Amino acid sequence: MAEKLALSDDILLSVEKPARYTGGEINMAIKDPDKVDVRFAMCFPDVYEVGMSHLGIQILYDMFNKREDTYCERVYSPWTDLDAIMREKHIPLFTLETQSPVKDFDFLGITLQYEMCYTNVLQVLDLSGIPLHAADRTEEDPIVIGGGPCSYNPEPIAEFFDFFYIGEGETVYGDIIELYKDNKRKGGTRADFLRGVSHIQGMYVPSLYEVTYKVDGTIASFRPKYDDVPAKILKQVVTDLDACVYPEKQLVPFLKVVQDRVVLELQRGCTRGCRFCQAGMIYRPNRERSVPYLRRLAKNLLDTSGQDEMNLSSLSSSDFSGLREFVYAMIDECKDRHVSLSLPSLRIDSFAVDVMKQVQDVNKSSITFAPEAGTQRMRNVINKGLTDEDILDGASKAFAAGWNKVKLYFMLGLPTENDDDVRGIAQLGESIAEAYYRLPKESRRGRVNITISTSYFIAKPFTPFQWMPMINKETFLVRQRLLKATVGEQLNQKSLVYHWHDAETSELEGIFARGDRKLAAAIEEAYRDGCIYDAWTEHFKYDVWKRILDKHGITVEFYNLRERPKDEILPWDHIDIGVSRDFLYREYEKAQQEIVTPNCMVKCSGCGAVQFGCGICKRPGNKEVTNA
Amino acid sequence: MNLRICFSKFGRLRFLGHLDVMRFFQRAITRGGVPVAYSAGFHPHMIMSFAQPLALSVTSDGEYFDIECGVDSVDPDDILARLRGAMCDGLDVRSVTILPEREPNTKKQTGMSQIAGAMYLLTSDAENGAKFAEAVRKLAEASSVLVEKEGKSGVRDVDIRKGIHALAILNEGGTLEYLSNDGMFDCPPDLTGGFGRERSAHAPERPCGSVTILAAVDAGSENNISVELLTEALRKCGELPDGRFLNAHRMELFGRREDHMVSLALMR
Repeated sequence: MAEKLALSDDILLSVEKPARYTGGEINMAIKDPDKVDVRFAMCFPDVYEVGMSHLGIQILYDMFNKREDTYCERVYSPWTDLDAIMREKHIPLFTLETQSPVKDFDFLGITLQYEMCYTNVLQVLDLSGIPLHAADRTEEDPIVIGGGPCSYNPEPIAEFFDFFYIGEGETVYGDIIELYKDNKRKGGTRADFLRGVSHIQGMYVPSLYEVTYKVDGTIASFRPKYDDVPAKILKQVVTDLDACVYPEKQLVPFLKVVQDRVVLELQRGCTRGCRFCQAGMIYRPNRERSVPYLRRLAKNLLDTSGQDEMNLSSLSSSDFSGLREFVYAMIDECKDRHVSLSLPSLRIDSFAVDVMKQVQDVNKSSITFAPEAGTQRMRNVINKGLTDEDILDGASKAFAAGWNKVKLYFMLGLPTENDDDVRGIAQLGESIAEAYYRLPKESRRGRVNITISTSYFIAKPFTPFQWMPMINKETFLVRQRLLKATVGEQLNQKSLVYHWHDAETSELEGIFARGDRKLAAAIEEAYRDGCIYDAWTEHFKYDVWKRILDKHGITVEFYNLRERPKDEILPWDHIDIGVSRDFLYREYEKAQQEIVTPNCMVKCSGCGAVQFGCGICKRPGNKEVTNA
Repeated sequence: MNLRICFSKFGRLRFLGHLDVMRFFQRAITRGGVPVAYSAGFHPHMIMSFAQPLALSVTSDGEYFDIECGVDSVDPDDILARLRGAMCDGLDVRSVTILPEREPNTKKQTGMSQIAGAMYLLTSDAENGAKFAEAVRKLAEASSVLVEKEGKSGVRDVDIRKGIHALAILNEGGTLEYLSNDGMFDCPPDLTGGFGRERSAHAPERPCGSVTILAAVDAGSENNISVELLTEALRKCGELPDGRFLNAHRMELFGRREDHMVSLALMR
């Protein structure tokens, strides 16, 4: 065998799913590492099947490997079985492509998709033999970069990274690589390079900023250490999604992964402005791809992957302007190819029911609504533009077409939530059941099955709720019980099923989401005490976390439960997503007054994203407002 | 029209599980534009059936699956080229043959149901070469070897010696020295040629000091002698370690025609 694997056959045979570690997938980039200038290790800090499902990595992997001077390889978190073996036998973490140690690379880029992956970030650094703290790294260590949604408030893990790339990756990585090569040629140091990086828009180098705290633990000041380092870091935005890179050949894993299908990104951003939703703010402005571009892309992706399923991805598919034209074209294309089509985030209306009839098996599938809240009052607070009528009307149409399974998603603990709002969730479920039983008996197919799921509201940075208190775990349990009891009181309670999420993970997620640099020591200690894969319920060690947070004086009262005043310096205030703090604060006030803000398609509300000069802000007929 | 496809599995992909190999070929068939037939129903799937699963870490030059084509006539060379264009390093298609039309009212003969034999190359590690050779010689001389086998009704001792039809040691000159051979298989004098290809194209490396043997054994649903059972039988015959000490390579799968084993590619 010509190829040398990083792990021996004995080890590979002793771990679960060895193909997680052997690479060689279809469309994998193959290059000679000795013939490139820059080696980039791209990491998703979770298990292979999760990491391989992520479109962002596919995009960046393809983008880097289109460069002749760069070889981008992948690395994922070893599962707990291999993790233990690698520690015991001192095997360094390796990339899949060339099976070479991560420590030998020029860069290690880590995507931060959810807060609960933070201990896995430390696992990846530690197993690679890279010092956990950026300050301890030498000229021999890779430059460690963070990106993705959690990098918009990277403070809790700031000291573990050399820099964060704020915004969309397709734009300036080329400049970063050129700067790196140039610095190397000139004999510059790691510090020289990082200083240079800080001059590129969107790059946040935490070591170049100084933070001081007040006695109450809030931030007193946050400022750059040097005059040439920008005080505010404005995110990177792709202005034309038809012109930026997109992988025409996606990697096709051998193992069955979570998202085991071709993914086609219809648009980026969302026009809706739901006040709890971070994605709806950080990805502003909404930008669409054109239908001809998407059709060409879909054809290429299906040809080169051979996948039998395609997913049309978007935060809110129904708002995509070319949806009808595109979806009907795709239904025909997919039928010819024996490919099944999935369209999540589709609002259920006549069009959706017609599409579902063509792409789903009515016996096996369900219809999904995410009202997020049970009453109109509460939905006005969160600015979720979905009414009871919309839901009942959509459900009735789907019932008439033969569906009898409904999934409903809600949050508990939303700001201003009262007992009536909680009961309203059960009552909405009941109304949907009644709509079903109003159908003539001969057109029903047995009992309707309505599943109600609730999650724990977590206040996220860069949302109007960033100043809002969350409810504590005990109140959350009280509301769960109230909802469970109310479900039991409904006339059609036999048709209703209630599922809930555990509160402990969410509590920690809340602390990380709005956390500051003081959290780093606790995260490091939790990792040292064996916490990894915190996002996995079976591996989440609440007791360990609780003990360590207490020891470090990190309280839910400070991070989750208090209302933050307007003038408080928030740990993420130095990051500029292009949506103004003033706009978010106006939305925070309107939430308390239960006033709805129209979506960007109806009227511009002057959030500030117009400065990027693209997407919905520039769509003909849309009148921009610079300051409402 | 039905086709039988022979492929190799090797290199880093020897750690790919059976289901993953199946999924790989489904996609390769799509990528290559092979005219395969689909089942009926809301989620149609390709009509294909795989022969014997291969244990993880074992390489092979003799893996098989059958597909049903949705068209009346195909050119096997064209299908071979299409599939080859859709392979990746570690999986390669070696041959495509047309299966004869089924007689009316006869049961469908899939590759799996035809399997009766398999031929393996087993290579020891450098450390255990001498002990391995000794055990092989003893196994060849033995008239019966009892090993524990897990069946439907629990673990029981079975005599697998009669299922081992030929044993040979690979000499330094590259020829095979047969220690036993009951004539069921057409046994090759060396590893060049045979079944329309080199017999050990993707076999594991042979480190200095290692010993390589050929074993031709029963396989399939009736009396399957896996690499694991074979290894266990060798342990009974010599002083071999409990842990892993050899790499295995499947050279070919066979069907039975009267009292003779015939390559699955040639079974009709």
